[in-house]
Amino acid sequence: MASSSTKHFIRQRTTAMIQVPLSIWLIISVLSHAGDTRTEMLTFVSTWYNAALLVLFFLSVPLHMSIGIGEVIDDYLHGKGLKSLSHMLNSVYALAIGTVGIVSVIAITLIA
Amino acid sequence: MSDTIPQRAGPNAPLSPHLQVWRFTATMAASITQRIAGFGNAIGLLLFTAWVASAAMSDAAFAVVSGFLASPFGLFLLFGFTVAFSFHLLNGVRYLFWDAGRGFDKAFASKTAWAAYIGSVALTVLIFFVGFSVYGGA
Repeated sequence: MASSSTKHFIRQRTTAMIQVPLSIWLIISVLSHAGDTRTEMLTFVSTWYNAALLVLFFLSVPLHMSIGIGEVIDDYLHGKGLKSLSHMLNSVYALAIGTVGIVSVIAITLIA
Repeated sequence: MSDTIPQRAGPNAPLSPHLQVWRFTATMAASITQRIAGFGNAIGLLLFTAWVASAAMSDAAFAVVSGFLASPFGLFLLFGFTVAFSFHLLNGVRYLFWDAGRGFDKAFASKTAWAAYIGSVALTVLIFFVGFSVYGGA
C-alpha cells in the first residue's frame, strides 16, 4: 500500500487532470450565462450532462483544494494545536463546499 | 537516496524550502504564486457555490447573490478570482508536464513561468471582454 503522501500526490494530479478540461468547460458555460435570469440558470443546470459535470466539479475540486491547502498547512504551520485545528477546518470547509454544491445541483434538477 | 524518504508524512517529512533560502527566479515566484492563487480560488469557490446554491433556493436568494456579483465590488472580486483561477490553471498545466518528465530544462522552465504570468493576464482580459459582450448583448 502506498504511503499517504503518495496517495495525496496521485490524487492531486488526477484531480488536476480532470479539472483542466472541466475548468475550460466551466469558463465557457459561466460566460455564456453571465446575466442569466434564475429560470435560465435552472434550465442550464438541470440539463443532465451539465448537472453531471457540476457534480464532478463539486467532488473533484474540494478534494484538490483540501490536499493543496493541507500541504501549505504542513509546510508553514508548526504549532501542534494550530496545525491540527487548521487541518480540521480545512477538511470541514472542503466537505461543506462539496455537500452544498452537490445538494444544490440535485435540488435544481428536481425543481426545474 | 530512497532510504531518506519517509514512508509516511510524519514529523520528519520533507517540507518545502523556506522563502529566505531561495534566490529570486521566475520558477520560484510561480511556485509561490501557485499557492497564493490556489488559496484565492478556495475563497472564490465560496462565491461560485453560493451562486449555485442560491439558484436552488429561491428567486430572492438568487437576486441577492447575482446582484452582489454584478455590483462594482462583486466585479472587482470576480476580476481577482479570475486572475487567480487563470494563473492556477495555466501554471498547473506546467506542473502536469513536469510530472510527465517534460519541460524541466532551466531556461525553458523560466520561459513557461513567465508565460503563465502573461497568459493569466491575457486570459483574464479575454474572459472579461467576452463576459461583458455577452452580458451587454443579453
